[in-house]
Amino acid sequence: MQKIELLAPAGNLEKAKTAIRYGADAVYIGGKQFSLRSRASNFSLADIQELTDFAHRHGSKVHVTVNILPHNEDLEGLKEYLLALEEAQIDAIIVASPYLMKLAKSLPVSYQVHVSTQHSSTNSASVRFWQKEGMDRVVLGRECTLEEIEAIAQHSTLPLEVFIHGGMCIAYSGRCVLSNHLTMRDANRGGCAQSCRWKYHLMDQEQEVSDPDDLFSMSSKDLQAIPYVQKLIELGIASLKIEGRMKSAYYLATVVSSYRRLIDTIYEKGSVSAEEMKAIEKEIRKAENRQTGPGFLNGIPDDSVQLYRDHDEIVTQEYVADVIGYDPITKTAKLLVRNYFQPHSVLEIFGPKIISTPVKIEEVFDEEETLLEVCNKPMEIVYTKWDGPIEIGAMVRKIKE
Amino acid sequence: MLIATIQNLENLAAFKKSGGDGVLVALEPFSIRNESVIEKEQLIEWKDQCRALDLRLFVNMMRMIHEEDLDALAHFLRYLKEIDIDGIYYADEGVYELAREIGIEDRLIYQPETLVTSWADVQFYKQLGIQSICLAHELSLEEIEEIAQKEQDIEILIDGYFSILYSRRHLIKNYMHHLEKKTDQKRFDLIENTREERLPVLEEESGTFVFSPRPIQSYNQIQDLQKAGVHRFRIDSIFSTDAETIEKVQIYKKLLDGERIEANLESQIGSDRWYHEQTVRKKGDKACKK
Repeated sequence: MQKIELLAPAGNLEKAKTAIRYGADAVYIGGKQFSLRSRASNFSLADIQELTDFAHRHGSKVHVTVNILPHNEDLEGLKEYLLALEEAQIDAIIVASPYLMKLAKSLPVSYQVHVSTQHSSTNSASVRFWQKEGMDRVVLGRECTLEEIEAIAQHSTLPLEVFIHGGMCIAYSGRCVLSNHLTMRDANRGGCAQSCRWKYHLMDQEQEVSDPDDLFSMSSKDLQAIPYVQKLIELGIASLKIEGRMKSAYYLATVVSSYRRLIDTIYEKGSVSAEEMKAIEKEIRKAENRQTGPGFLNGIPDDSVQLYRDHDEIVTQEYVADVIGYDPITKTAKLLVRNYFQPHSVLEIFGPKIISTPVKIEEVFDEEETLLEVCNKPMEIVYTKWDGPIEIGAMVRKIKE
Repeated sequence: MLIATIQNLENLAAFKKSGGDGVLVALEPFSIRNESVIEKEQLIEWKDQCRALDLRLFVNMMRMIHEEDLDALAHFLRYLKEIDIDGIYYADEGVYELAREIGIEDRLIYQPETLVTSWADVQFYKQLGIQSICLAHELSLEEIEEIAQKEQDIEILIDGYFSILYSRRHLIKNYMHHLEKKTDQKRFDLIENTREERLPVLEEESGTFVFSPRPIQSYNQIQDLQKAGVHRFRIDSIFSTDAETIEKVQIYKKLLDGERIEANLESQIGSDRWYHEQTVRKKGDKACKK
């Protein structure tokens, strides 16, 4: 059986390359047109070509989201765009509009067509429908419980993709236009303002039911599916998907490498120990900016999977530097500063081939060999002795108490 | 054709007299927004009455389907075939797939609220052999007219509150639990913290629904829609009585027959703003008002 695919999001070329280096089997990106998440810095066709070259050299794939629900005015240029994506040698498109799916299938293109989660496919009859329409894969709705995913997988022969990490829509994806009504921004054409996460008064006619200090909200905790990955592998799911085309390279590196380690361990050893699972969950938490939960995997969410208070959002400031060079003779690391850190402290390195390891650093020098008291200038290049594992492309973070 | 929900069997004759052509009923477990439901055993009686009055009977089956529902769904669809139902509103491809296997796809009306926004997607659903396709409610009059000129089998919601969010989560129950409060009530309003308008919200077993801040109203547009080639119009009667529905049907019927209405209709709570607005793709783009 083919090894399960780890599919990561990427908002730009640098992030896509990071995700691939840190272990993504495939990345999904948005083009400049016809894609949701219009605020993610989307890819030009030249960027897409550069990425497919890079990805294919690394044995990875590139999926492109063409997932808007087009209005009449959006239909122009679609055919040309789909053909241009073939030129750019992409591996799949992720599509919400059935017209667009069928259009792609009618063209001389070799890439696959995947049915977007915007369609909220939550049963095997829907999957069968898309299979008969000639589609290659269905991304299941995030509303499926693990039990339901199991039953769908048992009754389906079409490859299935399942979300395992990241932001959750509060509604069935695609079936929410709250943003349109509150902000005029079209949720299904890339403008979603995430109005569900705002605060609302809950009223019973003229009587307020909500607590004014703890207002009603429709904000969900993010999904974190580490405990469910083994089962999903056993079910023969084709692809495990991480959400978040707006997230940082640091977030991606942390999340992708964690799931990579988890999946590889399961394939190598047949299972993963509770201790190892705990370590991976701890690792992933270092990049989270929102609390996480099991989504629907453990059943229909109760209030413990919802967010009601502002301070539920966590600010992460742990990521401090990138490793951009290393001299093995002098054992000196060349670092690119990202956030404030102090010399003479214990930092933690992790990389495509390095599992998080604490490393004690001493003096830090800038490019003029001046001794630094603090490293607080983002994008400054600094040098320090490095007594621990290291590789170019690794990232360095502070150790939180 | 004018379609609306009628809650009480006794009002069917009045509905017919006012100009109604089709009645839409909800019955669990595959209906949503069940403000008024009928029992499965009553359906045959409704069907008989409708037949006697020359009305068509439609069923709301717009719930999102989960794997454990499939057997019951197939069973229910076979029952609807047996009683020769005139139409079935659905939102999930799984309903279509099972209906096709039973051979009643021609009864289906696709009503996913938000998903159909172009003539090209209407074409896709039409070639599936279904009866009609409901457009997203956020389309402008111009967009609807353009679609109607190309495609005949569309249906437009002309009156009533419409769903703008459908969640599988029990959002009210969860919040009340969070506050350690209890309620059996299902219907509330939401007011965003920095805004004034109220969004009705309804929770039921299948999940939570948020509605448009105001009901749509099309007294000033229905004749244009008719001219553009739209033949199916639906009134969503949620949160209103049969008497109110029948009164509205009467007005729309007159308008469809080309009559001029002298009464001032502007004082109603309904709004036609969606016909004139175009949503934008991202922050910073300018929303245009026509």
